[in-house]
Amino acid sequence: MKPVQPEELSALLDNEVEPRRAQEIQDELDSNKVLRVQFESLKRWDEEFSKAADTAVFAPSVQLPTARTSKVPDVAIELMASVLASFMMLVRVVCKIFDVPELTWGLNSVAFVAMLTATIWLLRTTLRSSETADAIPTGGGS
Amino acid sequence: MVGRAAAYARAILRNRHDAEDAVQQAALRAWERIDRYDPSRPFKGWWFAVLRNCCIDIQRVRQPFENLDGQEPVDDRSAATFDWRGLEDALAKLSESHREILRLRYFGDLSYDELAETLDIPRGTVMSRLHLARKALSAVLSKETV
Repeated sequence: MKPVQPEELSALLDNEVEPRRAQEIQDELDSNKVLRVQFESLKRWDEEFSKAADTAVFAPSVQLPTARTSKVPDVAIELMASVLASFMMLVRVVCKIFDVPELTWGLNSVAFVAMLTATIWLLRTTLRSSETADAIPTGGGS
Repeated sequence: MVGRAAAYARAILRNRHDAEDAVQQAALRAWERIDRYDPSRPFKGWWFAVLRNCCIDIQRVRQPFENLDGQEPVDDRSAATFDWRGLEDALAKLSESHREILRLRYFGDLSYDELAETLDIPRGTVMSRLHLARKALSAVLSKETV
């Protein structure tokens, strides 16, 4: 077994040692009185420090800006919507003027794909923004 | 997590109101810079790094003025024999690196991975520095109680 390093005693105290290594250190503590005294002393101080630090905890009032539902500026969304609406109207007008079934079918398909892509993109952007907002701590105790 | 953040800020700034300001500023700063956060790393470590910078900023502005330590009303809890002020007084006698890691560990309740993230040091360094800092702090307090 690897000899126990002093800093490993601290890590054991903080539950930051791998379970297998923790068991090895524990076995060593059971058989080594000097090491056990060191560990007990560390533990005693640690409890004192923790208790003292806990007296500083309080719940501050933290206010965050209202969560935006989207990172895309409202103007950009409005612009995109008006471009798409204009495009759809243009498709309808062109189809009426020329009265070609192939052209009508083709232009309507393009318009449909453009609309679908735009809708998916807007939905994904909105969802991503909501997830980001959830990651921010917003108050309460520890 | 916010309560721990408040405790950490309070320990540095030694004043509840400033601590509240620091947490508020840090929350806004984190909100603005959330795109810089790497989700593969501990969030608490990143958040405390932001808070730490806010505390330093507030401290820098406040430095030319009087120490506000005495302005905080003393409640029943702080009248205990060894409270956070006693701990902070003892920490003041340590080196900056020891003081910082102990503040983050005890007031912030950060894990080793989170400490490594906040202080931007390897986990192994966290382990050894924290152990040495603990020993130094217990030595200071032992001397005081003798």
